[in-house]
Amino acid sequence: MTTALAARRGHPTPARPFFRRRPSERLVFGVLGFAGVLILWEAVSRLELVRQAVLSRPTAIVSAAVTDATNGVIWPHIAISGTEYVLGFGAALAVGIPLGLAIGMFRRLNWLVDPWLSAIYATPTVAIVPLIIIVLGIGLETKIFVVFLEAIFVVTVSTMAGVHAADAVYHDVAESFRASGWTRFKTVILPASVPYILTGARLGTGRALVGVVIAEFLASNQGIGFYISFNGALLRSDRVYFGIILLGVLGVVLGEAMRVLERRFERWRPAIN
Amino acid sequence: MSIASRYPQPAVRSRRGGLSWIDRRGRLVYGTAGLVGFALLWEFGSRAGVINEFFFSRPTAIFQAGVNEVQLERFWRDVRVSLTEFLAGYGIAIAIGVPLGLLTGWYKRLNYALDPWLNFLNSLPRFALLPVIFIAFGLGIWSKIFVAFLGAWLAIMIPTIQGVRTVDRRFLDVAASFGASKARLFVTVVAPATVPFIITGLRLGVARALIGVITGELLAATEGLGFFIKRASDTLQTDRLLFAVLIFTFTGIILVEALRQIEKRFQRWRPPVRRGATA
Amino acid sequence: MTSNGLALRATGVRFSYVDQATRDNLLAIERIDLEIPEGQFVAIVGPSGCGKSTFVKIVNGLLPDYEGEIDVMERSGQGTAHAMVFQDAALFPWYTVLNNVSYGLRCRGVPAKAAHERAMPYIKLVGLAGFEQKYPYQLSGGMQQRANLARALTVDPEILLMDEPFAALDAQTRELMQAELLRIWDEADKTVLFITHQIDEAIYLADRVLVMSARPGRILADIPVDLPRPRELRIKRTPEFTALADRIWELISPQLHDQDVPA
Repeated sequence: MTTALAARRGHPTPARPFFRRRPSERLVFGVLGFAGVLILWEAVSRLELVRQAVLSRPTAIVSAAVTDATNGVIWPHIAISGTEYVLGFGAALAVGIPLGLAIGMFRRLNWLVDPWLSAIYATPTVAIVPLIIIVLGIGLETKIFVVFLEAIFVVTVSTMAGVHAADAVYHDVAESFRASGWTRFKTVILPASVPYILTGARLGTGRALVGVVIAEFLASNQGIGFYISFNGALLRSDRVYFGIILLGVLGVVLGEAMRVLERRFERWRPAIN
Repeated sequence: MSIASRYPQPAVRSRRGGLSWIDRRGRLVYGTAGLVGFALLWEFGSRAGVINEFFFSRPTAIFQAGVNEVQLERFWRDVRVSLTEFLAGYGIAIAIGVPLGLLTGWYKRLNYALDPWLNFLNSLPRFALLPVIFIAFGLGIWSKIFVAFLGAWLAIMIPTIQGVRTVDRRFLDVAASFGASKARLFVTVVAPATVPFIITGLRLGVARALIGVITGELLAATEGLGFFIKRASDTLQTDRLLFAVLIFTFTGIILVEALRQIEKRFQRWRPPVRRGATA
Repeated sequence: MTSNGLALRATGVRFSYVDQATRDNLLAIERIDLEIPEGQFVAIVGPSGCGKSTFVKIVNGLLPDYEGEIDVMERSGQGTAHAMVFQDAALFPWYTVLNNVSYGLRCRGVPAKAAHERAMPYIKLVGLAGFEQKYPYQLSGGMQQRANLARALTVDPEILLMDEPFAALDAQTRELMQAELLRIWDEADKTVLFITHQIDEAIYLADRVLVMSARPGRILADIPVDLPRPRELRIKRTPEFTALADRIWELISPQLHDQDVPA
C-alpha cells in the first residue's frame, strides 16, 4: 500500500506535446549502439582480423538466412523446436504452478521439499541429460522432458514466493469475515500469487529455450539446436549465427510477450518501474 | 506487534537472519526424514526390482562407485581440469562484469547504447554459441573457460548495473549538498549501495559458470567431470554417472550457500523488506 | 449471550504468546474486564504496544488462544455479531471497491449479484458513490478508509470493531474522517469499540474512554465523556474537552517513560 501511494506521487510524467518531442536519448544511443556493433562486426570480418569460420559477418548471415528460409530448410527445424518448447514448457506450468501453491501453503510440505529444491537449484540440468537419454532414448520425449526440467524450477519457486507474499493482514481480513479455506485460497492466496506466477513463467520462457538448445545439441537430429550444431561441424558459421539469432529473437519475443501479459494481469498494481 | 501467524509464510527470519525455532526444528526433522526416506525407498525398491537398477542404479552402488573413483588418478585429473575451467571462467567474468557493470550503470548513455545487445544476449540461450566457440578456441580448456565466462558474465553484470541505477537519489542529493566530489560520491554512496547487488550477481553467476563448464565438457572434451559423465553414459554406468552429478550438486550447494552467507552479511544494515510490497 | 442490553461483555481476558524467534513467553494482556451497552461508542487509548489492538483481534476471533470469557450479544436478524475495520485499510489491492465492500457477504455465501446490490447503499453511506469500480491504489488514504468502513458495515454487524483506522492519515483528513464517522455512526446505529492512541480522537468520538496501561495491558481508568451530541469539530477547543484530555494525558504519560521518553 505504501509503495503504491509513493509510486503514484513519485515522478509525474511531464505532459509534453507529442509532435514537438525530440527523439529520446535512449532511442538515439540505443540505435547508435546497435548499429555501431553491427558495422564494427562487418568491418572486422572484411578486414580479415578474425577468421570467417568464427565470426562470419552480418551481410553473410542475412544472405544465409534468406537462402534457408526460401529453400525451406529452416522451417521443419523451427516446427520441431516449437513443438518441444510448447509441450515441455506447458507441462512445466501445469505441474509447477500447483506444486508451488501447495509448497507455499503447507509448511510441512515446505520443510519436506526444501533440501530437494536446494539440490535441484544447485544441480545443472545438463548433467543429467545423459541419464535421461539412457532412460528415454533419443527422441521427442527426451527433449520435451529436458525442457520441462529446465523450466519447472523457476515456475515452482516463484509461485511459492507468491503465496508467501500475501501480507498477513489480508489473511486477517479473510479470517475476520470467516472466509472458508477455499474462499481464502480464491480471494487472497491466488490473487497475491498471480504476479509471481507470471514472473516465474517469464523466467521459465528463457529456461525452456535453454532446454531446447541443450536437448537438441545432445540428443537430436532435428530442431534449431541441431541446425546450429550441424552447421557448426561443417564450419558454416553464417548459418550457425542465423540459428543463434533466431533463438535470440525467439527469446526476446517470448520474454516481451510475458511482460505484456504480466502488465495486463496487474491492473490493480500501479506501475512501479 | 507481530504475533505468531497461522498463515502461510516464508520461514520467519529475525534481523540477524536466524530462523525461528519452529522452522529450524521442522526443517531439520522433515528435511532429513525426506532425504533418508527417499534414499531407503530407492535402495530397497531397486533391490526388490521395482526400480530398474540398470537405469537408476541405487544409493549404495553410487557410493561404491564413488569410493572406487576417488582412488583413481584419472578422476582427480578430471576434477582438476573442471575446477581450473570453472575458476578461470568465473574469475574473468567477475573481472570484466563488475567494472563494466559499474560503468554502464553510472553512465546513462553507455547504458542506452549497450542495452539492446545486453537484452538480446540475455534472452539468448548462450550455449547456442558453443559450436563457434569450439571453432574459435578449440576443444581444450580454453573453450570451456570461455563458456563458463559467458554463462556467468551477464548474470554478474546485470545486477551490478541495476545496483548502480537504483541508488536512492536522496542519498546522492545529500552527498552532493555537502559538496562531495564525483569520486567521493562513488566511494561513499554508489559502491556501498551496489555491493549487495554485486554479491547477488556473484551468487547467480556461480551456477551459470558451473553449467557452462559441464555443458562444454559434455559436448566436446577429452577430460573433465563433464567428460567423465559422458564416458559413464556411453558405457551405461549409471552409478558412476550419478556420482559425478552429485559432485556438481554438492559443489553448487556449497558455493551458493557460501555466497548467500556473504550476501546476508552485506545486507545486515538494510531494513527487512516489507512483505507484500514487492516490486 | 448477554442480557439487559449489553452488546459485549469481557471477563478476565488475558493473553500471552510465544515469541517465534526467542521462544520467550510474553504476556500481552494482563486482565481486561469490560461491559459495553448496546449502541455505545467506546474508545480505548493507550501507549503503543499496550495490547489494545490485540484485544480487538481477540474480540473479533482472530486470536483464539486467550484466557477468560467474551460474550457477544447474539442477534436475531440477518447481521453478524461484529466486524472489523482494519488498520491501514487492508483493502485487497486486487479487487475493486465494490468487490472489497461486498467481500464479507461473499464469504457468507451470498451470490455476487445480490452481494453487490446489498453493498451499494453502504458505499453511498460512506460517500464513495461513483468509485465502485476503482481499485484501492486509485483512492486516497481517506477514501480507502471509507471503503474499509463500508466493508465492515455491509455485513450489518451489531458491534463495529475499529483498530486505529485513522492512524495513517494526515491531520486534516483524520479530522474530516472523524466527523464522517460520527455521521455514519448516527445513521447506522451501531455499537462501536474504537482503538486509538490519540487522546483527542478518543474524546471527540466516544461516549466513554478506557485508558490502558503499558504492556502487559490492563484498564487503568474508565472515563465517561459527557459532551453533548451532535458534536462538531470546534468542541475540541472547549475547556471541558481540554480538561478531559489533560486528565487522560496524566494517566498515560507515566506509562510512556520507560518506552519512548529518554531517561
